[in-house]
Amino acid sequence: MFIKVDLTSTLRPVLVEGETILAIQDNVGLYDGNEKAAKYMSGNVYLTSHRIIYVDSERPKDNSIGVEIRLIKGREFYAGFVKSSPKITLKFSDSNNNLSPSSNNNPYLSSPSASTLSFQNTLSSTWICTICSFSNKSQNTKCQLCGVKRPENLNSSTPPSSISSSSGIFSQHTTTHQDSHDNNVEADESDGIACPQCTFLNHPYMINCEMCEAKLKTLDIDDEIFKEDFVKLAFRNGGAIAFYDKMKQAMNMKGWEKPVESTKPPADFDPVRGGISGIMRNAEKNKKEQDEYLNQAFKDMESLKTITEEMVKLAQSINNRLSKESAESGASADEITAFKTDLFKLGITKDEAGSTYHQELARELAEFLENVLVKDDKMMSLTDIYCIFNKARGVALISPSDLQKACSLFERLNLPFRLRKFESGLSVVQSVAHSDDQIAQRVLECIRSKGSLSAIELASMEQKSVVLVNEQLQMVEAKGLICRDESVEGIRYYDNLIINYVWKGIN
Amino acid sequence: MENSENSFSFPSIHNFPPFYTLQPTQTTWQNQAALWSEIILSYHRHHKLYRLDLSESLNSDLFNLNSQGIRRKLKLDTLQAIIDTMVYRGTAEWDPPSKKDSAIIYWRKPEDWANLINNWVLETGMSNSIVTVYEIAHGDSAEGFEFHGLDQTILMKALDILVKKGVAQIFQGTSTDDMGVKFFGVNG
Repeated sequence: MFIKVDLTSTLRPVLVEGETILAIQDNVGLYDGNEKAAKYMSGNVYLTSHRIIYVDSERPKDNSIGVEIRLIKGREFYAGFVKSSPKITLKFSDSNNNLSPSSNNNPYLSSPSASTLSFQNTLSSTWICTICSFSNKSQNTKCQLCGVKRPENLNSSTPPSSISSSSGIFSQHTTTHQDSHDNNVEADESDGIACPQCTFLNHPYMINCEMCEAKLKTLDIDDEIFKEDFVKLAFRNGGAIAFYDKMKQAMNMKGWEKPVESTKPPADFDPVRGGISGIMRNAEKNKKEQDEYLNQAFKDMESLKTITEEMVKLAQSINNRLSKESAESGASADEITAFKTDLFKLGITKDEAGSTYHQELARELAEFLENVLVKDDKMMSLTDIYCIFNKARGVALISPSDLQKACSLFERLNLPFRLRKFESGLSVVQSVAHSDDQIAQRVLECIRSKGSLSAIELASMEQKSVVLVNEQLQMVEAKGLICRDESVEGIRYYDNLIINYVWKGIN
Repeated sequence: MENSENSFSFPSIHNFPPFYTLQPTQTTWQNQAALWSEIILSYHRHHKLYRLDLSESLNSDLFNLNSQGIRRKLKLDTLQAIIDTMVYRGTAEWDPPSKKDSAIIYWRKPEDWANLINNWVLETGMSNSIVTVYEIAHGDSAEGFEFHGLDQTILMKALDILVKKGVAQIFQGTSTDDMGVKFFGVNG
C-alpha cells in the first residue's frame, strides 16, 4: 500500500500533475497496525489531493513513504486520552472483502477503457503456482493442478498476464510495491527476463530461471512496508482534527479522478470555424467562460478559494494582453518564462500547513530561490526576495515577518540557503555554495576595468540593489583588495594600491 | 623658499586619491600610515624641517593632491592618526604632548644627533672646552654639518643623551642659548 516517495531537493514530496497539498502536520508517527513503526517515528505528514505522504524528519531520503488516498477503504478517528496522542486510522481493506491487494487496484490508474478494466480484473484475480506454474484463481488456496499450497509471499499481483502486449498494464499493475527495485526487469519484458544469476533470457512469464532456478523477481510481500492492513497516524503535535476533516474532504472530492489538465494543442483547422467569424466566435466563447469564472468566484469566499488558480490565470492572461502592447520590460524573455513556470507551483498557506507553515514556506522558498538565485553570486536582499516571491505567488501573499521566519529556518531544515545579516542591518539570502571570494574577484575586476567605481555605478553595472552592492564592496574592502576615496562627491572605490606599495624613500 | 631644483619629488602613491582617506581596513591602513610617515620623514629631511604644525602643514604640498583636476587634502584627524603611529615608532613626538597640534619630526633620532655632535666635537678638537648651545646649532664652526640649524628641543634632547652617557656636561646659563656644554672628548 505504502510506497516510497520521491522528494525534492528541499525534502518536500514531488507532486504529480494536478496534485495539490491540502494540509501538512509535523511530528506525526506511524503505527503498523497497533505497533509503533520503528522507522517512521516522527515526520511531517502531507495530505494532498491524491495521497497521504509521510516524510521522515530523521532520514527523509530513505524513510519517506506515501499512500494513495484511493486505496484507503476506511478511516477512524481517535481523539487521544491523557498521554495517548490523537490518532487517525487508515484502513486498507474492507471488512467484507478478503485481503487480496488486487481488490485495491482501482481501475482508474491504468485503464483508459472499460474493456481493459475487466481484463485487468481477471488478470489480477489469478496467482501462479510456484511449482507447476499453473494460473490459479485468487480464491484458491491450493493449486488446482498440483494441489500445492499457495505460498504466502505470492500475491495475485505477480506477473499473470497471458497477453504480452499488456506490458504497460503489467507495469502499472505491479506499481504498488515493485517499481522501486524492478525497473530493469520490466524494461526487458518484451524479449524475456534476464536472469540475475546466469543472465539467461527467460520467457517473461517464468518465475524461476529455466537454467539455474534462480528467482527472477523478488516478489516477497515483505517488501510491503507495513504488515497490517491498517496504519495509524499519531499526531503528537496536535492538528489531528483539522487533518481528519481535510482528509475526509479529500476522500470525498476524489481529486485523483479529475482529468489532469494538459495544455491542449490548438485544435485542427476547421474550415467552418475559420475566418473572421471563427475568430469572433472564439473570442465570444472565451469571454463567456471568463464571465462565468468571475461570477462563480465572487459568489462566496469558499468557492473563490477553490478556483483561485483559474482566477490567477485569468488575471495573468489579461496582464499578458496588456503587456503585449507595451512590450518594454527590464527582464529578459527567458527570465519571464522561467518565472511564469514557477508561478503556479507556489502558494503554501497558513491554512494548509498550520504549525508547520514556516517550515513549509522555507522549503517552498528554497525551491523558488533555486531558480531565481542561479546567476552570478547567489545573493539577494530580503526585501527583493519579498517582492519577487510575492509576485510569483500572485495570491495568498505572505507577510514580511513570515518571510523572515521562514528564512531563518533554512539552516535547521538543511536547505541550501542562508539568511545573512550584515553589520549595517541589511538582511540577505545567499546560497550555501556562494563564496565571498568569487564576489571579491568579480568586484575587483569591475573596479580594475573602470579605474574607480562608486557603489551606485557598480550597482547599475551589475543590475543589483545599491544596498547589496554596498555590502559587497565593504566585504571586499575588508579583505584588503580595494580601498576607498572619500571626497565631497561621495565614496569611490579603487584597486588597493596602498597595501602593497613600497617606497624606498629619498635620501 | 622652494625652487624647482630643490623641490621634493613625491612617490606615485602621493597622487592616488584613496591615499588621502583614512582606510577603514586595518591592514590597508597600516601600510598607508607607514607610507605617509616615510613621506613625512623624507620631506622633512629634504627641507631640513624639524617641526610639523598640523593645521598649517595641511595646506602645504605635502598633504595636498592637485593634479589632473583631482583635488584631495588630508584631513586633520587622519594626519593626527598618522603622527600617532609615528610617535609609537619613535619617529615623532607631540610637542607639547598634551595637544595634538604640533609635533617634532625625528628624521634622525636624538641618539643619532648626539653621535653627530660628539663626532663633530672630536673632529674639531673642542674636547674639554666649553661651547654654548647656540654655537652648536648656529655657530660658524658647525656650518655645513647636518645638525646646523637643529631645532632646539631636539638639540637639548641630544645633549641630554650625551650627558647621560657621561661624555658631556651642561652648565646652566641665563638662557637656553647661553647654556654651556663641556665635552670630555670621549667617544660615545
